[in-house]
Amino acid sequence: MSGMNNMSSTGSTGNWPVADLDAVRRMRVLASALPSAAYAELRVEAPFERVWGYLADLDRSVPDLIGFIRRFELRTDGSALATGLLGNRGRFAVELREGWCVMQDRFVVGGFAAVADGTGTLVAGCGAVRTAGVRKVAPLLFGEHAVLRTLGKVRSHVESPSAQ
Amino acid sequence: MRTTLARPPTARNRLFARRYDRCVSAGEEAGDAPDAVRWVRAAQRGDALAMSRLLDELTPYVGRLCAPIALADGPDAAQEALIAVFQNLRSLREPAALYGWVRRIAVREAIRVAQRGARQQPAELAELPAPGSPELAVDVRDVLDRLSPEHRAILMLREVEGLDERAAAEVLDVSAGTAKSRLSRAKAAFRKQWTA
Repeated sequence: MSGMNNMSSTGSTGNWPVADLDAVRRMRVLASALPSAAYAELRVEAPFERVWGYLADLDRSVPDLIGFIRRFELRTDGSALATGLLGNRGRFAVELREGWCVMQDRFVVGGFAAVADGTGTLVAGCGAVRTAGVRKVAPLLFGEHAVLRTLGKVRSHVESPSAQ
Repeated sequence: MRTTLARPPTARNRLFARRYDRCVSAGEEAGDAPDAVRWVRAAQRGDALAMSRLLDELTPYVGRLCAPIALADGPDAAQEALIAVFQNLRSLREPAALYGWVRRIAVREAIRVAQRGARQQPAELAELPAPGSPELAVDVRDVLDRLSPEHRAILMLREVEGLDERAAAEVLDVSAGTAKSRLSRAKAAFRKQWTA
């Protein structure tokens, strides 16, 4: 998905104009399709490269951002092994491209997207529960406030002096 | 901005639009469903990665449908159209009908977004330049900008999608007579704007 940061404008192929979606617009579409999904966006005052450099380092960023995950190990086959606070383990399928990441196991889906926005970056986060019976408690885990809190952690990290 | 291009990519887009149906008719019966069919079925079961793959597949097509109608609002229209597609994906019983179903949704959403954007500039409404004619040595976008969303939609369905009037009428949910007269006026408007 190279160049996705610049894909929100209307371009032109041949004689007829063509529209495309940037990564945040894609995440809006994905969130709209997931039952009980929580979705939020936040603009951070840091360049895209810094924001994405942090987010794409999943082994580091996922435990930083998701409170109930203690360890996250991305493997070369595109999967990841997550270890919870209680030592419970889960295997995630991961799709990671520039500006776009979606992770899912049998029970949950999580994703984030980022696009350059002037001198800053627009970051989107999404969380959803895949198991119908668990969706009753989903707002506790993946409510919009929880996603915003996670995005706030991203902001704190990338805007901190040590990150610059 | 003016560009000089020989002809609209009508044949290529028609090919794109029909690819899926050919794949299905050739693949499903042979037990080798094309990727899009598998992604639709998996997405209907809530598989987020399949949804992402399906987004990869549908976004270029929806972008080609929405931009000529919604113009500057093309990305908004494509987003709204894809949201409508994915929110209603479970109602799609026959994945082989995917592209036709998506086309109807995308065109209607693009018209709605264009109207909402108050970019409607109805024009008086001759004939569309023949493929390869020097008359196409203009920026189509400049001309489209002066047409109403309904006229842009009928032109796009004829010239990009290659639909006949009856099929275009079905997509737009209007009578064949309305589609015919609308196309006639759209072509006249296109010609007038080009000669302006």
